[in-house]
Amino acid sequence: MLKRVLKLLVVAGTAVGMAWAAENPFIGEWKLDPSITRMPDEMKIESKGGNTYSFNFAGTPETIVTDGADQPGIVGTTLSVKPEAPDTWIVERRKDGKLLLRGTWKLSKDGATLTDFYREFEPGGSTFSMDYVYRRSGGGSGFAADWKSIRETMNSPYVLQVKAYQGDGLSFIAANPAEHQTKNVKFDGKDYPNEGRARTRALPPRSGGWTSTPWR
Amino acid sequence: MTDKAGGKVIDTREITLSPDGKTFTMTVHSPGRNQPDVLVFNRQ
Repeated sequence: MLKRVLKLLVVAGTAVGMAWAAENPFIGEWKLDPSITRMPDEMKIESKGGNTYSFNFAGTPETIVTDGADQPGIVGTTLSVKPEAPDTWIVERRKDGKLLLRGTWKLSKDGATLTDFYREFEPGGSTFSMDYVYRRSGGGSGFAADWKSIRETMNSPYVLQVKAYQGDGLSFIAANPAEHQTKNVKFDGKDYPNEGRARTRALPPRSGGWTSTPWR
Repeated sequence: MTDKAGGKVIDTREITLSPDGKTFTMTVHSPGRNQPDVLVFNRQ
């Protein structure tokens, strides 16, 4: 008798979970609206004399000579900065010789804003594209300043799928060329492992113009 | 939602749905950052 009651409870619980999942309004496919999304970023660039600068993208400064040569950077990467013109720098980060990202930085004529045409190159051959506009704050001249973004435009489309997970939970699935990662949640306060590959891999977000994605 | 790596909190996310169910907003707070990311999604 007890066994039958328990079985009925399990069946009833499953049915409730399935009904909850079917009705959950988060379930569906969602596309990022870049026109109203904000992903504020900050970076600090400090002149150390001559053509040596300190770059702080993610809390750890990297000091290099801006001569276009690859130099040791954070977490096993190299960083290079090549001045193409007085108002244009090309910033590249590599790991094991492979190009991970390129930022083309252009100063406005009055030096008040910096635009970063940020491109990140994925293992599968796709490119993640985002444009940032920063406003100068604090002192400094030329590229040296504390820069705070005032506009971030994601050019690459970004889609998030939300599905039912184990009855009454939800799976948030970033299924884009640049990343395939699933975050599973149940509303019980417990931790559930992520699945798949985040696009930032072993590197921290925002480290090198290194951007953050919605689902990093 | 709280995201962790190695037991350390990477970020926390608040997700809200508009009353008409067509817009989904995710606000991402990361330690050490002053301003959150505010991601807005439209239902496909």
